[in-house]
Amino acid sequence: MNAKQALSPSAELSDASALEALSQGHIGALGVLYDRYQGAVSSFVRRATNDASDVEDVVHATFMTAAKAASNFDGRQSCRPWLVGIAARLVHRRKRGLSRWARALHELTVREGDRYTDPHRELAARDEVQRLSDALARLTESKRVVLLLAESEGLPSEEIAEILGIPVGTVWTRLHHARRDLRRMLEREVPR
Amino acid sequence: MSAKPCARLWQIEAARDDRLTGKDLASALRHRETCAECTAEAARVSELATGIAQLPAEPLDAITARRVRQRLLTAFNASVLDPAPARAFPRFAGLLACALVGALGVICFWVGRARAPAAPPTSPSPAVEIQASSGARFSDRVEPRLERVEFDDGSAALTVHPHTGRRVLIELPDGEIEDLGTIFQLRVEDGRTQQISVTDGRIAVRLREQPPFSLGAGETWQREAPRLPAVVATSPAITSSATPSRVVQSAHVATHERAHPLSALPSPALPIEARHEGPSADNTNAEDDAYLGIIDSLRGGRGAEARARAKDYLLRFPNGFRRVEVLNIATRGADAGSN
Repeated sequence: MNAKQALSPSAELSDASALEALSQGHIGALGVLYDRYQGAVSSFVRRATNDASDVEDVVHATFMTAAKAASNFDGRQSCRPWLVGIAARLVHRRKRGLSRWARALHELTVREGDRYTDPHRELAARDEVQRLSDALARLTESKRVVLLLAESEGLPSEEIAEILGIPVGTVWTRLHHARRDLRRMLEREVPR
Repeated sequence: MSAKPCARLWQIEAARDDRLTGKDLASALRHRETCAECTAEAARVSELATGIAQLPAEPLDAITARRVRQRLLTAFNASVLDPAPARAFPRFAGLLACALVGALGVICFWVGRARAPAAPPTSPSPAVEIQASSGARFSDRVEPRLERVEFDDGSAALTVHPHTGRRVLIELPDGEIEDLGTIFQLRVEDGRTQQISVTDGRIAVRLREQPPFSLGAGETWQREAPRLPAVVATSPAITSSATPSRVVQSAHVATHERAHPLSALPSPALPIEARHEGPSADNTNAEDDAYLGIIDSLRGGRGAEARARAKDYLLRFPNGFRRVEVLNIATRGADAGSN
């Protein structure tokens, strides 16, 4: 299928064709891909960063990076893992900025305050999903990103290692520690 | 009192994370079918994964999504229509940087060549840092895809630095350790691994006569020491200078001055026929046969015969490869007899 022809009329354009068109500068292809995957990418970024204020910027940067690197797409059925991989890399890089420290400190203060002052939050935390969500949020970002890529996005360890630029052994170690920490946190919070 | 956890419990996660392949994976899956503990662990890991996958994460609300879309398309449009101002400087800077790096490289090459004409060929830098005790015997070979440390004897503390795309394998006389990014201590004596302590990270250990297992931070594995005094009682030819408690209690990185656990085995006071059969290659089959005979007797429930064969083995092969196990069998027999 010719990407240029298929662009305007339908949303049935395959991911590979859309990226091919995007690599040739077709702005419509970027719109198609954004509409298709912004939900998945923003959900991943929100969970991975644990910081709602950054989601917009990271989603924007993800699709811009994808547009620039469109010609590198390997042509697989869905470009979701590829996009999520780009987002994960950006999340990984973003935490290196020194400004993150100040913001993280601010977030921590606000959250701790919320935890002890808002009774609704206390009630909601008893819900099982909420407990898991809270526990996940308390993992370190490096562990959380790896765990989400593996369990939520279903990516194999080798691919995660490639995405994050770390040895596959480190991926295995982080996965193991993330599961262990998560289980400990959940076990500790079981209502008795 | 809590039961000892299944030694293959770690394989549940390993199988899930593609750490196991081929025969190892098939074996782990077969084991899982029969082990209640592993089945429960698999269910827990799977339940956790399902929970994570099903966690609701709010995507951007419609208005925000629309705003981000608009911003994205505008930015992309700008980059397509007017790429020159954004790219001109980086491209120029890139070329300049390449030229500078190239020039610097050439200068360093010539200076280095002039100063050190006999420089060895470059090879990947080792990921493993080894602090070995005096007398330890080991070698470290670094290849692009694999770093192999052959550790023959002695004790050492090993620190493995991050190693992208390279496996790190520590080969022991009786097995191997695969490192997963870690700091650990190791002690090997007389061709057998005696102790492994992990300070940080996790390692996978595969030893002969042991099911594979992994050790995490703060965990220590130690080989069971033989009970020596009973052998002294059963065989007058065997004299001991080391007490069993010293052997068993030797923890952490040992020094070479320590009493050797096998120093109690016979050597000078042996009968003449015992000295004929040293640990040479010619005796390997005979030694194996003798050992298998002992095992056969044990499995057949013929304890007295096994003990007799064990004593015979120790006399025939004082430096035999299986002497520690055989010593244990003979000792157990002595204990049983004394009871």
